Amino acid sequence: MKNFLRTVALYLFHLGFVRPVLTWIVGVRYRRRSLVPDGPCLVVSNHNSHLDAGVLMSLFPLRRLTRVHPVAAADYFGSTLFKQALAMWMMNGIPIQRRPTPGQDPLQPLVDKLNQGHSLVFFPEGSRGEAGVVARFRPGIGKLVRQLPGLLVVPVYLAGPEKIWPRGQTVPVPLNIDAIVGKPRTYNPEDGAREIAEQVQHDVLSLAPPPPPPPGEAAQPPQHVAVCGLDGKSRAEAMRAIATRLGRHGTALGLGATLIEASPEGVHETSAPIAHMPYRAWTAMLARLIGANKRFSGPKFSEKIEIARLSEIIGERRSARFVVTDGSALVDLSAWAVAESYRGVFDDRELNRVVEYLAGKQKIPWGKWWSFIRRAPEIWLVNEWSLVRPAIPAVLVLVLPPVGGVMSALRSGGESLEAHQNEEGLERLQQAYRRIAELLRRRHRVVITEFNPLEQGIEALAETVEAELLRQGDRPEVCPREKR
Amino acid sequence: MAQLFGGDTRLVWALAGALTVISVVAFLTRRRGGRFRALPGWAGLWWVMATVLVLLSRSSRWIAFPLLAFMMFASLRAYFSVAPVRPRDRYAILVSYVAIPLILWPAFIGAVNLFQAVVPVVLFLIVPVFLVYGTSERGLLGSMGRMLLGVIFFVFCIGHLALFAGSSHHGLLELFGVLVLASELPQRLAGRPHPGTPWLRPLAGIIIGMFLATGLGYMLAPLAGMPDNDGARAGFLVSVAVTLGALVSEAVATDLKLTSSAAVIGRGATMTRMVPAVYAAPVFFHYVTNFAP
Repeated sequence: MKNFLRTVALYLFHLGFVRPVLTWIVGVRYRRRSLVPDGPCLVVSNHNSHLDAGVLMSLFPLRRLTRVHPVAAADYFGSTLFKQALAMWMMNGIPIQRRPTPGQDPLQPLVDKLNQGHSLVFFPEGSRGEAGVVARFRPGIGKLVRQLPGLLVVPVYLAGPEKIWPRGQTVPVPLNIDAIVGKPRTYNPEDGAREIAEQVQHDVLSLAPPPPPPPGEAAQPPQHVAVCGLDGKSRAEAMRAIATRLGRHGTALGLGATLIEASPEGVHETSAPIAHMPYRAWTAMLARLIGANKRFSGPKFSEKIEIARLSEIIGERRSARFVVTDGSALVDLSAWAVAESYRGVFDDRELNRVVEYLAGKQKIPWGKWWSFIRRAPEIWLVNEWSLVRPAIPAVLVLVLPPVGGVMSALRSGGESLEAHQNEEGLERLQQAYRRIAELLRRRHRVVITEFNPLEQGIEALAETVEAELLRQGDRPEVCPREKR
Repeated sequence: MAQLFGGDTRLVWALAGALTVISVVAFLTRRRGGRFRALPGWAGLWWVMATVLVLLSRSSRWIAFPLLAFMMFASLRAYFSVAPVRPRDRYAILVSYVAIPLILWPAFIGAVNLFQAVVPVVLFLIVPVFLVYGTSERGLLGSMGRMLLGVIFFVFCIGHLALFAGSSHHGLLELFGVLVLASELPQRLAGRPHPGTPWLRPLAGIIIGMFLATGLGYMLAPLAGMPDNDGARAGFLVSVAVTLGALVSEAVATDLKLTSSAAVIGRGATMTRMVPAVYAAPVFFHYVTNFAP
């Protein structure tokens, strides 16, 4: 009977008050709500307001409401009968002792509930704290995770409740709330509790929207450098050297098989390849479906798209001063199309139109669809499906080693050669790259630097690119490190 | 229902036709990115606004006014959520919300003169009082400007739509909707003028919008009981107001540091979608009541 009454109170409160208020008065916007798993999990978030628990509970469908418990401080919510009824009955909370007596394990009730297949809403900061400030997560979350290896932890970042009803205010003011849900993950139970708490805090904070830029002039978009051409190894080395060099003047991101972040403080390179984004699979699938794999393998095509998308996002958010990419969806796809399918067909005007199709500035007219699907399906795919709008680079580095050298390197590799990998095909491709580069130089004022790895040093190339970008950027040229 | 579709419904159908056109355009251009990204959200908002306009014009006030009040509240809330406000501005925000029913009450009872008296007193004299409550005046002027701008856009301007509710203005709200859509669609398709970008296409959008709104005003005004010349002038004035509203909303979005995506599809979108229309509401009202009665 007690359980029945408790369930009725819980549903009445949520259906009659919490959810209508959150929907109509506050206007909560959930992002990636579908990431909340169906099974038991631990939802953790920053905590600035009494609204937080309600917002996080409404991430779950109504049918799971009886199996979701916000963890509430026993000393605060047990202080009066009203608070107790509200937190423990209406909100289905579980009390936790913030100052346990010796020998008492305050986490045991939580472990029991999770073992029973229930989910918990947990605020690792311990209290609401100062409005808009995320306090250091306490190690309790780490201890809980260590006791339950394999427990799925769902990080959520809440933006807005701190303005609506911060600590010390009696009247809430309706404003919007964003609840941003992160990917559920497990933590290594062998790590220390403090270490796990820090990892959880990092996961929650990584969901926070970027802070507004400081007042004054808006940050400038990053300057793009694309390193394109035939020799993959030299391209990657050139990209790394240029990004490292540019890092002296501000944040420079190198996007290739891995991500390089160079700044005056140093250079970091991720060990994992960046090509594991969720949309990689569907881009590759689309490419396979329409047979866009003739020249690029599916994964390679989607890697190009991913790099271009990352570069686009970095540009939109002004997250870096320089972006250096290994390859360019814009240059590579158009050069391949010219070399393979449209050789001798395009005049400069049509070729420029292809560049504009790839850059997303124009749509391919219906009448030309079939021609593109048949001969250069990658371009049609990028354009019609709006996969990406690759930026036109400020500097294009063409890595063009002698074809003979590339062929002997390919033959010595031992792998079977593809149809285009012969002297004539590579020669044609080099000509196509030069033609696209010339077009970009004339029409879009792109600075072209040809690079032959057999004759020039990579450092000299990086220095040339650096000088060119600084000249274009009209930005302070003093490296803080050198200044010191 | 009989009240909704009774009488002359040609202007309702004209509004539905305009909505269909913008929805089809939004659907066809939905994947083009850039300035076209904002079209689906804008079209969606206009279906809601058109419903409110038709209800205001043709249904009981007990149905239409709460809907209008909620629309004002939701847009004001979205604005305050993206505008930086000081913690101590919360009481002024509450007063702004409370002002919504106070503003709508004179319109509900049909007292236009009372509306014109209540708006300046409640909004522009009382709201600032709640901003100066406390000891520190740091940032007061900035706060006051942000607060009152939101109130002007989403309470004062939208409030004028409520004054049309009633039989004496039958059809004018639908006409207003058609004129705003006719002015705004070409502008949105051509893009807004920005410093440093080519101005020819946006200018063409503005001019086409003006011609379209003026022409439609001329043709449709008799259906709302207005002389055709007055309708043409009303269409022209609405398109001018929409243009000015768009310029102002873009500038405010830029100053609020809303990124392009936030201003187009995110939280800041309410402002860029609604302000051009709400800017035109008082202009249309005062022209119709004072110059073309």
